[in-house]
Amino acid sequence: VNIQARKILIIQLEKDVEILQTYIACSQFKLEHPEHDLHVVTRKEIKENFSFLLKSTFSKLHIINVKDYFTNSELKSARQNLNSNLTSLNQENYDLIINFSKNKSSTFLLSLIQAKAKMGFARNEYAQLAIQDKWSQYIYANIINGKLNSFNLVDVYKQMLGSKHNYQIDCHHLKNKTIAINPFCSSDKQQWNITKWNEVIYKLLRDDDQLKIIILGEKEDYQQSLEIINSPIFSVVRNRITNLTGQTNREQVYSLLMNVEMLLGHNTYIAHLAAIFGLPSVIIAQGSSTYSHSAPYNVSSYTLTPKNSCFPCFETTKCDLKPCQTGINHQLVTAIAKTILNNHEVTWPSLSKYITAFHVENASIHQSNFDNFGLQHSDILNSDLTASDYFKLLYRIIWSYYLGHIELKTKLPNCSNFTIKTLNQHIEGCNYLFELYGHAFNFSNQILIETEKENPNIENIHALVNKISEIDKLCDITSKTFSFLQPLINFFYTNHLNAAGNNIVEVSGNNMISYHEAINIVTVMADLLEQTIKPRMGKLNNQFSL
Amino acid sequence: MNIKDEIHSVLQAIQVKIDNNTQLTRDELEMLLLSSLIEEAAE
Repeated sequence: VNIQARKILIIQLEKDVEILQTYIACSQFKLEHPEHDLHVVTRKEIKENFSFLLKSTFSKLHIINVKDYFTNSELKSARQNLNSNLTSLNQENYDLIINFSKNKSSTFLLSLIQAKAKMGFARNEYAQLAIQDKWSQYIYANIINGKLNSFNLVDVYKQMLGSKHNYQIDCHHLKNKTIAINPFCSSDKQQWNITKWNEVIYKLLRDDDQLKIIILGEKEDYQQSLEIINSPIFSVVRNRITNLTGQTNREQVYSLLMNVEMLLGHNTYIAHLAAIFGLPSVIIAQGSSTYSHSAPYNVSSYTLTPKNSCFPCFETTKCDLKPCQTGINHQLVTAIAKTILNNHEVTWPSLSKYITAFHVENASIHQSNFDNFGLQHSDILNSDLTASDYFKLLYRIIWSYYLGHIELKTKLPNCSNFTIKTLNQHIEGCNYLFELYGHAFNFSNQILIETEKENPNIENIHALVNKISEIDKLCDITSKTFSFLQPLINFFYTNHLNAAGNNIVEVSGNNMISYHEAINIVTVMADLLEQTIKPRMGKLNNQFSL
Repeated sequence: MNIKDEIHSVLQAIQVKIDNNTQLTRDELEMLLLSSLIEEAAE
């Protein structure tokens, strides 16, 4: 952030996981810049549930609560109440407002509060979505509408705040033979089968007669928790299971987690609370659970994902067969839990004491660690990377440098011949894009030349604008043919669509910069692909000639 | 007119302005904020 920000408002109108990601990013920023005054505006229930954490980082917790506006059944008074809420926010005279949320209401809210500078999703005076800063454009193009993101949202938020340092939280070491399990999540597709959780709980308790288990969940999970607790397989070990489902508030969950050795569960707020103090965690991410941007910000965590080609899907994707349920088996989860309990590093040699290669055939184990940019995940089984994983890695290198000015030094890992062929095909796509963005750059330049003339020809300008629109369509076709170039195409489409400017000269000037940067990024991508392929192509050609 | 119908009619008038690419007033943007908050609360 290139401004002298002193009073900063953070907008976070999403749910539990998002407020915890926001809290972690802001608390790290506050450690680096204690001189700045941070405020947050959030939902009433979020403030109530998490103020025990938030008040350590934010000096003021503002709320937006629609129910408070409807004091009677008149629209007029509701509008007046909202207006007075906005007026009090405007009286704060913020230097900077950052909207970290992605929902509709937050975009309007950002537009209605005044500040010297703003970042995040906003609305313009025509109620259209307007995204001015590049990190928010990245979130829109590659996190909301893409599958090849490899940045954790906490790191993206930190970049937006201008935070440079990674405060790594050490592993929480407590040996009291107690595990917390959170076997529930709000999405059916994301939740692991209850019978598998029963197997894990049973095997852990059977093999260690000192071990105790606490089950955590929400009120709405209570019926499901009874399925676990009343299972006949627990007849001998039931006295060592404590079911606290629906009986704890957020602060109590946080305190409970501080007194256990490990957490097993899904990517819910509980896993994110555990991440705050580095509790070792095993997280099952399946269905639409996107571990790459929403994994708990925790170096002591292992995320298990299925190897299905459709994973991760989108929340709206219809799925009747639920193939994810066959990916991660209970033997694998039990083996990882036992390895952590025995204080061993989770590696294949340590896991192979409990399981065979067959048990990891359909699942990946991602270990969290830090690189120069922030949290990343590496596959502990060192399997050959798929084309999708390989592109994620290349994009991590490219975006870190382009958006964060951070150079990542990483070895290019192993990949199969099939992946090499896919990478090779995409060089052709890069060449197409190079030409398309080159033309768009020239057309934007011609618009500028035309506008500088004494009597600009409006028809010529219209024709050039139409040609740029055609290029957008051709880029879209390219993204369908070369699907792994979609993140790059989506980003620059979002970027030039949001080009700043009050007139055609300013917009065209900024478009030229956008296309110029797109050309550079395409060149870097083509170069990285060539560097990856070259040393391996000889072997591949020999195999085919044989 | 009940409150639901009142909100609906105000939003319809704003939608006409949006469709015609007409600049909205602050008051209208505030109404859009209120309606999105209602939508999200109902989810």
